[in-house]
Amino acid sequence: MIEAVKNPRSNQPNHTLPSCELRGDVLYLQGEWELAHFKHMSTQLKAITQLGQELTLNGEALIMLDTAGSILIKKFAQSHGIQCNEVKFEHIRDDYKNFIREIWARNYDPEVKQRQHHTLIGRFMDWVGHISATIVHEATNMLSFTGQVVLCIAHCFSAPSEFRGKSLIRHMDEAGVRALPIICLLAFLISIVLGYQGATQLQMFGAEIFTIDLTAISILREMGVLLTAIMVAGRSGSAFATEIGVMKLRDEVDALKTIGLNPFQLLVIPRILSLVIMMPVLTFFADMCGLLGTFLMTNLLLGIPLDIFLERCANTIEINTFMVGVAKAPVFGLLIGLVGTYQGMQVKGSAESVGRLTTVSVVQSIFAVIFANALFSILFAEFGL
Amino acid sequence: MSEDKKIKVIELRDIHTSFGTQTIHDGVNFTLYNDEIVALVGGSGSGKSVLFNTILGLVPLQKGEIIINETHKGQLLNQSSAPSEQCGVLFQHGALFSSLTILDNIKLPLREHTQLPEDFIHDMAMTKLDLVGLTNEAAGKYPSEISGGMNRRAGLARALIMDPDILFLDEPTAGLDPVSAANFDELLRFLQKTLDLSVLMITHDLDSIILCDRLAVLIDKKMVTGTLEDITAIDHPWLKEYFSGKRMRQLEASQANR
Repeated sequence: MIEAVKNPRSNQPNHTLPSCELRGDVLYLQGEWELAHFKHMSTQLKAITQLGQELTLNGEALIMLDTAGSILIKKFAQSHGIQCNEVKFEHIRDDYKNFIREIWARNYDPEVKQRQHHTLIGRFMDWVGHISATIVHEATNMLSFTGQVVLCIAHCFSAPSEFRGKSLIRHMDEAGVRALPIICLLAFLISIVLGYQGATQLQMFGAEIFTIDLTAISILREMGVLLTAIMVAGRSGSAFATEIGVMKLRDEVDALKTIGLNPFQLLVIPRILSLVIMMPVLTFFADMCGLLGTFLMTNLLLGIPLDIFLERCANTIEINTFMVGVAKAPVFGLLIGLVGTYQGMQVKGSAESVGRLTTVSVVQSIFAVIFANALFSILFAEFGL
Repeated sequence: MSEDKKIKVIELRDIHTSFGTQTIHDGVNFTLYNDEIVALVGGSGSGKSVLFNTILGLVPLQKGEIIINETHKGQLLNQSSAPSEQCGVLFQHGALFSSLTILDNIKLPLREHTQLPEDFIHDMAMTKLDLVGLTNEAAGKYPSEISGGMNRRAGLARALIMDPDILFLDEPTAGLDPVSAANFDELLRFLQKTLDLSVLMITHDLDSIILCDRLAVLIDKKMVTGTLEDITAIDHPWLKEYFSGKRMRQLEASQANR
């Protein structure tokens, strides 16, 4: 330790432990009164129980003194009803004395801050209130954000030159084209899983041909679009939140405003539109790969040749089956884009909030997609599609 | 706390640093004595930060010797498992952890390296917080909620929490308004006297340079040290420019006002 080297007795291998002795009103301090010997210092001071009205510090044999030592002596004095400014000093080096005085002169809130609610009920109520307030706040914010997006898109029609075409293309590439391989692979694999499960059950009734109906319809109506939406939410929704969030954190969004550019027009609209456009395209590819998977599975496992597969498909699949799935895609894209960019815009303060809001954006957009899907199911059932 | 005898707290012997073909330091020699404030000055890209990080141990030492307290060889951070006992470092923007409150930031070294009871840690942290001139209200806030100057002060409190002997400051007044900068300089002087610190700071602020006991200037890959008068007397184009003309007149004017 450096202190040991600094002081003249440093050649001794052992540190001089702190000790103190009370004679009359005088407290004789010895050794190193520093942080490393905290336990020793406090036991030494605790041993002293009898203390008069006055306290004088004698530092003749004091080798070292630091903040911890000073605070301990201060607390010791205070616990015996002696105020710091009443403490006298004798035979103590000036720098120690000045140091003690400076440390003792500090005033601060002595209490460690406690949480306001101690009881479980209180904390629960606090939590419920907090959550409710947050939900209301978030809902109004989200609504106003959606309103701004709508206004911005409307503005694009009156002033098409302000629309950021290049940015839109870039995001369509980023969120759409680059997502194609993984989404195709996913749809292919899921269709095999679905088909396999269906086939093993249906084989028991000798109705394995219906595996095609089962898999093809569920892929086209539900699974294709849902898989795509979940993948896009995890991939692009989170990226939107992070990109915009980091830009907010580094004041880039404010910088755009000062240059007279609308961050919505530049950052939000192209991202949302790119998803609205690319989601149906991705869904189409997912559907096709799903059908391919279904064919391969039925062909290899059940031995159904291509012509029978195609005939079966033509009989069961109507254009509506496909359209019901694809029609949902732009809505899901809109939801994912809205949530992602909205959460990105909410970032403020620390790097931590970027991480938190990115997570929130993924969770919320997947929730929104599944919730919207449920609404669509009811809607389509009512229309008899 | 130490005797009046001058002790070499940090001694650099013949430090060489190079990145690729580019040589940064070509035989730098420097000594930091106890209880002094030394300003490390140099143009952009002269290797101030690299030297700083080399002494600390944030970048590896390529060639040369670093001797701490006349006996221990090696970089500062490699000397012990709790380096904050030995040296405190204040980074340019405070480098407070954004997920912790100001108070928790200051408490962190104590919590990690000691087994003190929580109420005593609170006493220590609040003492240091008050010492750097921050109020009780700032304690519970997060770094993003307080100003840059307050962040700097809180960073200083965290650097000082374990009562180190050496304090490293990286442009502590950069980006502060002149009043905050002057306050920070005063605070530094006060703390240096109170806590017996040896301070090495990178600075470009002429007002801060006046407050230092000595200057260490990195020019032409070497180190030149001396008092302000010594340095200004040297005939070197960069130094002439640095301490000349408008800047120097301002410096003299401000010195006259003191």
